[in-house]
Amino acid sequence: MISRRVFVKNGSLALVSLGFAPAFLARAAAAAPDRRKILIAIFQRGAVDGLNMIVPHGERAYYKARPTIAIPRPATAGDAAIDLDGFFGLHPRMAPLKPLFERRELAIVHATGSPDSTRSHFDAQDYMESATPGVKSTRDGWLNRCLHAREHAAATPFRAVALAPQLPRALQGTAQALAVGRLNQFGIRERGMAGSVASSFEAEYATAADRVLTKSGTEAFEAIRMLKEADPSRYRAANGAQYPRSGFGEALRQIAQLVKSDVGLEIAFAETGNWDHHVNEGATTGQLAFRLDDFARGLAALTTDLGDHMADVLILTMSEFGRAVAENGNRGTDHGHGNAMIAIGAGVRGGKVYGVWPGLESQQRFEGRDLAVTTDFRDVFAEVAVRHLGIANPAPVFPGFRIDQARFRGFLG
Amino acid sequence: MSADPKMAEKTAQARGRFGMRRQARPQQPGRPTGLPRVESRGLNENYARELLELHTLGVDGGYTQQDVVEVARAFTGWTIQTPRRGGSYRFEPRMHDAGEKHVLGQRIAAGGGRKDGERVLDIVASHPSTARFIATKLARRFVADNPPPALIERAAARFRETGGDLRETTRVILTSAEFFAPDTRRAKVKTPLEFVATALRTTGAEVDTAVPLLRSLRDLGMPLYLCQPPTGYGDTAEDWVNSGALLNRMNFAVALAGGTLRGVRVSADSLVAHGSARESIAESLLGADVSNATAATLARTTEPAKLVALALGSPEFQRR
Repeated sequence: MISRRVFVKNGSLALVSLGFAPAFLARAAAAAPDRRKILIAIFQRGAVDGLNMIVPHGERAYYKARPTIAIPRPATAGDAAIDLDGFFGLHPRMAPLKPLFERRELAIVHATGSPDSTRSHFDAQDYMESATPGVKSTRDGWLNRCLHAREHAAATPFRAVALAPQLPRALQGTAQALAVGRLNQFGIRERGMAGSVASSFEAEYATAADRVLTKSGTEAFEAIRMLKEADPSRYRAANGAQYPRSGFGEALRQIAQLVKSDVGLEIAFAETGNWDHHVNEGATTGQLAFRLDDFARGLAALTTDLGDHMADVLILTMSEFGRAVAENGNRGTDHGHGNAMIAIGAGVRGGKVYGVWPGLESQQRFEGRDLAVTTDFRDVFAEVAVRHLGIANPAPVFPGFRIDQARFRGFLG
Repeated sequence: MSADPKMAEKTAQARGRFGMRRQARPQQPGRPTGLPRVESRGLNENYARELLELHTLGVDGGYTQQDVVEVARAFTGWTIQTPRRGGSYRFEPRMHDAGEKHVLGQRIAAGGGRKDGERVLDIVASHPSTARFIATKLARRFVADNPPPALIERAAARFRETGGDLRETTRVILTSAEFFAPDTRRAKVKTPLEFVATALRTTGAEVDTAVPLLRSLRDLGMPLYLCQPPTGYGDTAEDWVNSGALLNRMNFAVALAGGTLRGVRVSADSLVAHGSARESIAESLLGADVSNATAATLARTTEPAKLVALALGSPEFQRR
């Protein structure tokens, strides 16, 4: 049964989303190239220490500022930075990503961040997810506005999915987006009921006067129908991909499922936490190393699992701000400013660290303490919106921001 | 209505003076890594920032980065005895920055020792931004996601007059015309904890073990006592309403009513008092003003367990 809402919204193309597409309609859907491009956004919540993740091992100031937590220069110790270009290196626990860099499918943009100087996690996440630094009143997230900027007739309830219990700020807004904890539990579990309750719940929500609840409720039942068609319970990771046994690994595995099951995914979102290492951050081992191990193994498994699908997929990682250049009195790092973003995909001009390196000497730092920002994170987002998602007019996605393609760093072809 | 969560909140919260809390909080163990200390170099600003931004003045409350640094300096030396074994508050003079500090335009003279931190707490607690911040939070809790500004102002004024008396501040809100306005009824979407608690209470559920309920709360996005951000859980519809979360609520309703939630028993039959099951269940669980859609759906249902599930999972039951 096609719900009235789907039918009204999508017209006859609603059939496509339900899997009963006549061949000619399926071809029509496939002909629009940008619709098949998928963005997987990964948020490292808590402000990852970008200087220990993508290590500027060519900087003397880096080693001077971090006597106990610096990552050793490549080849100086068994466990040291993995050199990328003679100046930057990966944290050794990021080794699973090295082959992607070598195959030029992984690029890094360093010293990115916000023009707003807030060192509050909450504000900075809000600003990054709304993509309106300094403006708290923005109601929707930039990824939700990306959905609006590429509205199309074949949109499905799985256009935008966050593998998270709550919908992240970046996806909040008026375009449909789903938060899903676990795909295989998505639906009404009717054990203990005589007869179906799902259709009765659906009826309660279909016409209730409560706009907020009706909208989310109706979307939920549309999504259940689609996922049933896709049958995620039979999923096996491909190409020997081994996801870490963690919440993050599980989220990425389910994103791969959605990509491959062809349910109309356009934007996926996953998050990974515990990056806020004020105390005992560690260096090549320790807290940060442990988190980076999970992060890198997860991303590597995702790209392996997706295989040929990576031709249409871009993975973009982000974190609300970086951490101070110097370690603090607790062998940790306090909230800083600039950070590094990682882009992975077949369309990435990889094998390179992009951006303008500001240096780490005190006079080169932001406010004398932090990695300066030389690339506005919105220029990275805008490059993704335009060159990957094919959004011809990105202005509404970035309110109050003048987009100039000349500023794009060029990590996407 | 027997299960008005507002009544329960009135009794559970809003006692005491803001000053009492501010004495208690930083001295409570539990966030051992958040407290600042000075060693040979370096200062940990995190707790200072949280204190100003999340617990007192609020993010637009008019403090500067310099205030954050000064507050962090004032708290140097505040630490915890044996943090891994429960610990307790300890002041460590050797770790304290004894110099003069300037916090929010007020001077804290050099040599104050542990009193510096207490002085900071007094300064922030009596700041007008704190009054507005706390008044807004309380009004959002009890009235609406976007509470009327006039109500916030009245509550904030009372907070200032009474030196941060939370009972008096809350009284202004709970006795206001805004609180009793028809628009306020069901203006708030229940948090998962409120949803689970009201579901158990309205159905008279007997709980033998709470473990499955804790798991339910985690699935609903609100693991009990495990909130990650120091802000506590969100308090607006936006924080809790999305498709996946609603399905989780419906699933909880089905499990509770259908008796598949281990250790929790609900007798659907006993909810049927007189007359038809539908009427008595609808009334006892949802109260008055049920939408046509929900009424019609319940009218088509006869089996008590299913009726209970459909009532608890209905749009009406998600609001308070």
